[in-house]
Amino acid sequence: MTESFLSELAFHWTLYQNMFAQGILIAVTLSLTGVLVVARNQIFTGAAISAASTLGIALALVLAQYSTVHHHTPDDDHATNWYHSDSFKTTMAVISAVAASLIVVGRGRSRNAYEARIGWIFLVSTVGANLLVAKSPHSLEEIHRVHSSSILGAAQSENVLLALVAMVTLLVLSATWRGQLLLATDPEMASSSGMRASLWQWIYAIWLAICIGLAIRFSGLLYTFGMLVLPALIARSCCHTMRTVLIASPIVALGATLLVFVPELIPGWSTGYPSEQLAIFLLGVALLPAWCYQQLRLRWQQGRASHR
Amino acid sequence: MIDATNLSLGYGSQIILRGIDLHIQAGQFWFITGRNGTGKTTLVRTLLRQLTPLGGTLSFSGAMQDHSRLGVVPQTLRIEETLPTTTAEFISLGSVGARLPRRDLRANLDYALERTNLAAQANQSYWELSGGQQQRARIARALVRRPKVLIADEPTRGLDVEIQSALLEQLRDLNATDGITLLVVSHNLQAVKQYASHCALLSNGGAVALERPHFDPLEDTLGGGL
Repeated sequence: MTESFLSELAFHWTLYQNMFAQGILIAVTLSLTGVLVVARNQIFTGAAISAASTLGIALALVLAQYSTVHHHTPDDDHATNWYHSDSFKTTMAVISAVAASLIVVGRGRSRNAYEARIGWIFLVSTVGANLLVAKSPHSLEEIHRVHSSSILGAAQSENVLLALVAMVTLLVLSATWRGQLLLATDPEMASSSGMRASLWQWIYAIWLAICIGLAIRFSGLLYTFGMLVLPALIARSCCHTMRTVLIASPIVALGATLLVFVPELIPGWSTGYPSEQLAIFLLGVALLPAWCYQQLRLRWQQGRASHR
Repeated sequence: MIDATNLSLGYGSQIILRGIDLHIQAGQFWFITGRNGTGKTTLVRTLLRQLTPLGGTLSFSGAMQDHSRLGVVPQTLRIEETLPTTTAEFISLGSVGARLPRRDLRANLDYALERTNLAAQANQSYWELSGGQQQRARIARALVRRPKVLIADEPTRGLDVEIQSALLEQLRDLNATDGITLLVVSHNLQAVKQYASHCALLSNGGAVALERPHFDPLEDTLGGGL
């Protein structure tokens, strides 16, 4: 009995280990990056960049189809294989995300113009991705899977890339945390403190796009956007300092991921629901009491401030 | 510390101030004053190197040569109440770019808290502080760099008269006791007369530098107030 359970567990582990590792790495990376997104009040930037990444994947699918149709000589084989590879989709997702991020995050302009650009990118990318593949049922299905985050599954080599991105995010944020927080909340002060504010804005925009672009290809729009903003929002609502938000956000993301993915590894424990959507749903539900706590705390603080 | 000769300032091709001559020495307490729209913030942004002068020469020496010993109190604060932060965490953000060992950073934080009478509120939420205390925390955020020069853009704006006086007294104390050179942008004519050792009066696209006790042009130019 125990032996059969263990052998089944080993089988499940072999089957799901990459998905498990990938879910955790994406959760950690995005929940850390999301702390800055939330501190900057740029929540919908995440949605717009995620949508732009989807457009990149749709473009990759169209180019792959085009290369197959116009495939004439054996020399074309190499190019065609590249167009059909997952690496090409990932590259296109990242390129689209970087382009979108540079448009919306780049330089500080008026809030209205900024929000208009976000709305434009979100709508054009979402509609564009669907229209591009509308006549190809296979590609359309893939885009739908990207939108609904029901596509988890990466190779081990891709997990190495995700681990690298997670590590760089963690190291850079730990080393430059105070500066990043000042830049997010008071860019003029950051600039007058000798920080190269403009350079750091560009680095932030590009890195955010790389994180989102990679995550989208591996885990889809809902999981990517959800992991980017929900853990950071929960942590911001419950924590007393921004430093603890930085620590709590990945813990919250990890907690939700483990809660959902671990049962998938244990025979007979699977919920039967899509893990990525379940994780985001759990985080969304957890945000409600966090918001209530935040409102109570804000009222209490306002009361204390007015009595001073 | 700051030598400006025949300086023209503005944005793009639009000149807002021209022919400015200012010579600011260490230990002085300067006010930059003038009616709305006369270019006070433009002048401050130029002194902070956020704007390049359109003409003339501007040279910095001593503590103004780099940003490490320059403290800034900006006019507006962009953070919102939903951003959780304690007084100490908020103040310590001012040490960005200071490149000091952890022990010195801690000592500087203690100094800033002590000089602004906020030591007791260090671990409280910044949002629990009163308006006056929050403004003192902003000054502390500039002091945490142990500045030689402190530039404050309208630090008394929106505060009660009583709190304004207390804050200006605190600034005078920083100038007199700690030898910090102060440049304060203010609309408050009485404050200028009471606290300034020097004043840059901005009007009609230019600036006049005044030195105590020769502040009569303030009344002539600004008349019944700002």
